[in-house]
This record gives sequence, structure tokens and C-alpha cells, in this order.
Amino acid sequence: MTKTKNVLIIDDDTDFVRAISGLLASAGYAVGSASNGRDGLDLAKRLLPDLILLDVMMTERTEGFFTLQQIRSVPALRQTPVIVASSIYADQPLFKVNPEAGWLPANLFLPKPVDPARLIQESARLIAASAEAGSEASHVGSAGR
Amino acid sequence: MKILKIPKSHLDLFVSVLPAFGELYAPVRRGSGYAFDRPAAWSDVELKYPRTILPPR
Repeated sequence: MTKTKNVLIIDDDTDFVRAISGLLASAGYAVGSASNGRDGLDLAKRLLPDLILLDVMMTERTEGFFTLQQIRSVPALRQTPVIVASSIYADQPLFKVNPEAGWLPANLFLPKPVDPARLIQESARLIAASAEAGSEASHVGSAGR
Repeated sequence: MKILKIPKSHLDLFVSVLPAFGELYAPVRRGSGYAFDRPAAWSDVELKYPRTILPPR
């Protein structure tokens, strides 16, 4: 039997969280949420989700970037796929550092409003890739013993 | 050496990119004093800390 995959949404927009939670639940995911970076990090440490969907502009306009750095500093979450979904480039036109430039330690950046079909597709892809990488790592680990 | 001048109001955006290039340390409040440490959020950064003669190491 396939284990239900967990997705953690860290976003302060309750409408977005409600809509995306419903979307992900209908696709078969178990969904948890937190409305700020600190709570999100705590929840991520406890849930160890299969995927994190992270907003940037929450209580502070760069909160998600700091949260992402902290997520990556937790060994158990270092390989967890993270999708950053934000409208920062539309809301802060002075912020011109391209998310594709390699500075953002996320697996994917999606501009808001998020395309639901793409979100479902990318979530499945990233979770599958992460599971495959984890499986290969455990095979290598057991072969080395 | 490169000197960059940016408005203080944009400092949080600039700083949010810096951890990609190394560990970020900034003055943060610790108890009744201040220390240079890794901020967990931009609001942790206290720019109005008492300056010292010698730089932090």
C-alpha cells in the first residue's frame, strides 16, 4: 500500500491556504499548514513532510527566504523538496535577483497566482524525485555495510 | 573591493540573497545586550546597536 504523502503549506494568506489545501487533498495528499515562518519551521521539524510549499512575504516581506535558509540547515529537511510560491517579483519590482540564478535553495519557484495544474504536476514530480533519491541513498548505504 | 550603496529600506531584500554566498551574521539582540549571530528573520536584526571601537570577529 502506498503511504499518503504529506505536504506542508507555509503561507499567511488564508484564502490561498484553503484553496491549495483543497486542491492538494483532492489529489490525494495530506496537507498541514502554518501561517508564518517560525511556526512553519517547527511544524516541518515535527511532520517531516514530503514537500513544502513556502510563501515569501508573510509577516515580513523576506520572511520566506529566511525560513528557507533555516529549513535547509535542519539535516532531516535538507533534501525535502521546497516550492517557493510568491508574488514578490510583482509586488517588489526593485527586487530583480532572478530565482533561477541559483541563489535560492528551493527546488522550484512558482509565481503567484499559482497555476493549479502545474502545482499538482510539479508536486508529484518533486516528491517522486525525492523519494527516488532517498531510495538510491539507502541502497548505497546498505551496500556499503 | 566593491562598495555598494543601497537605501536602508531595501536592505532586507539585499540581505535575503546573501546566505547563498556564505553564512550571514548580523547584530541581534541577546538578553539586555547585542551579539553578532545568524538572524532567523529580518526583524531579528538590530541596526541600532551600540557600535564598538573594534569590529566583531
